[in-house]
Amino acid sequence: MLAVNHVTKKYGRFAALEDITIEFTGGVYALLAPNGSGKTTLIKMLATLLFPTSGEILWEGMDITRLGERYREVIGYLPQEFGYYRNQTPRQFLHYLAALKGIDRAAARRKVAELLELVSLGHVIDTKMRKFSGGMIQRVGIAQALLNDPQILILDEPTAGLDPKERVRFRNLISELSKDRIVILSTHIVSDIETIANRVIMLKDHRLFINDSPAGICRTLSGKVYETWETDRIPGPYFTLTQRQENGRTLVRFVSEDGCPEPARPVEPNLEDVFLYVYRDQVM
Amino acid sequence: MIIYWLELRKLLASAAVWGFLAACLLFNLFIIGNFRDEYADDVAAVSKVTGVALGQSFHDRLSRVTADGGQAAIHLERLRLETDGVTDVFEGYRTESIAERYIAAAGARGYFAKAMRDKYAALQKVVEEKAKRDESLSLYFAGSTYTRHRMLFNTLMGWLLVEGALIAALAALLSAGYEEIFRTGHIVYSTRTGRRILRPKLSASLTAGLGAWALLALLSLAVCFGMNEYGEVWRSNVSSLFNYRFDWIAGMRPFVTWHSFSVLAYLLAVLAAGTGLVACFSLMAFGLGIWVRNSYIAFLLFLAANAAMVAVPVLVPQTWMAGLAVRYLSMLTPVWLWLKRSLWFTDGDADIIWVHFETVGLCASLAVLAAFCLHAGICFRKRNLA
Repeated sequence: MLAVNHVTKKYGRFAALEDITIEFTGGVYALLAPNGSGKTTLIKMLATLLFPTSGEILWEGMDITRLGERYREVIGYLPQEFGYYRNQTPRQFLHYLAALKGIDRAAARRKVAELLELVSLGHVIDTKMRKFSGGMIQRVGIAQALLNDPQILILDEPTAGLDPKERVRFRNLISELSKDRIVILSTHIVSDIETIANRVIMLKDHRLFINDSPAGICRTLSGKVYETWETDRIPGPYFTLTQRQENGRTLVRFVSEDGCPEPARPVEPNLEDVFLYVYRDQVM
Repeated sequence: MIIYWLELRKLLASAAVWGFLAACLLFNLFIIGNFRDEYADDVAAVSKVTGVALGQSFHDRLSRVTADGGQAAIHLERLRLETDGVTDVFEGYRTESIAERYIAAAGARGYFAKAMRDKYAALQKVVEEKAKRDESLSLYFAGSTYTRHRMLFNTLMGWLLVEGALIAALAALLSAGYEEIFRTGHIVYSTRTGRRILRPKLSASLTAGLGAWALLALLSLAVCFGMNEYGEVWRSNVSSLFNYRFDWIAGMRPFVTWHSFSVLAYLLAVLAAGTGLVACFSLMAFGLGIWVRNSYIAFLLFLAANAAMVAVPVLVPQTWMAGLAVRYLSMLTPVWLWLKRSLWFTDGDADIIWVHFETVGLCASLAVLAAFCLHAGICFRKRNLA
């Protein structure tokens, strides 16, 4: 189990994260929050790039800072900004990272070929990466994170740069991988995690806001989300979630805390509704 | 070990390192090409017949050497004149007055004055030993010795050391800043090896820096010795009566080394010390590269730090003991060791109070800079990598 216990991270007087406590056991954990809310700070602490100002992060009951390489050998990490050596091929780059991960050469040779096939880069295994598109680079990033068959897979904005088809493939891959490991996935794109997350963790004002299942989170708005074609007939205050054009008319989806009579009809809230409502006062 | 090779391969794949190496080599060829001394070449050619030990045997053999006229005959005649009636310059040579002149010029007092006197007392014993062995009665390049010696050990070696230091610094900064340049730090430092990668990076940058220096020196010297004849001169003693040194305080005086060096042995000793000096600059650059993650800023700091080391002993007032200490200790820093390169393995000059200053300086610099790198590495392990 990976446990984040009362972790605070400060930069001078600015607190990027305050008193965060989360336990990760198995499955997909989605860190869902707008940019600047502290997701990447938490992810970097889990990847040992940043150290908590206070609190501790424990892996199997031991502080990850003390565990050092024994902890790092069980993690796979894809950073938000994935850098690579432009003049190397994916094969060379992954072999280099395999060496850093302590994987022996024979195993690395097999694993590199297997992973590049998995992310559909088998045909460009010996092509220099400077010729790659953003999506291809992101797939190299995903492959490198899986090199050591990690028990904890940490992915920071993993779908950035992927096209819709690749996103679906990626979601399926994550779902498959999460069967026997912890997957921590940070994103501000709700559709990335809606169908695969076992738990959704939302941060607000640099603190933990919700840590619940997607269904549980959706229940927080149960009976408060409505749709209507006639917004001018809605009484009282409401918060617009989305608008959709259909046959020259506008279908508005909104939240009303006080209930709403006809012509608005109540609908089942989804994760995106909660996300938009929770972060309604934040610039995204 | 495999990580070391992979780090080394990253450096060797750098076009900047190879480009700079090629530019340095071209520059050295230009310097070597501009230096021609036909008389010295003729002396070297004659030395194959006469040997280099000046004495009756030398004169007998020299008298049998003939020239076909022209420039060669003039050079042969000049050599006969220069070597005729020479005497051992170390016989009766006294060094105390040098110490007193240096002490007066530097305003040295207390411990520093005593150290200077001790140094020249030790040198006196060396001079007496050299006199017993007739070390100065050695041909070297006869009348061209001073210019040939300066050309190799001051001019060419000076440039080679600068180039070696810059290439070593470039390799070290590239190695230390590679992940910053390619934005791969977050991946690399979160692997099992993690921040311990600095160790193979340091080894790889030292290998690349020293390898580049060795390659540059090897190629430049090969061209130099290909174009300039040395013959038997390699076996000449570097403290030949024809070799001398000059400074404004002690004037012109023999080139006295602490040990007995042939020209070849002296060259090898200078190359060995030069390797140590290049390693110092490499360590300095690597330490700075870890502290300052931006390689360009680190390079500017590297230049500034060396400029400051040159300026400090000049700017610090010498009227107080601490000022004198700063001055004498500064001479042990890498940049001052480079500036004093033509005095390596000799007694040095007014700025130097310790025997074997180049060895002491190199050992001290290597120890301090290794500690600096170690400290930078320890701090890096605790640093937040945002």
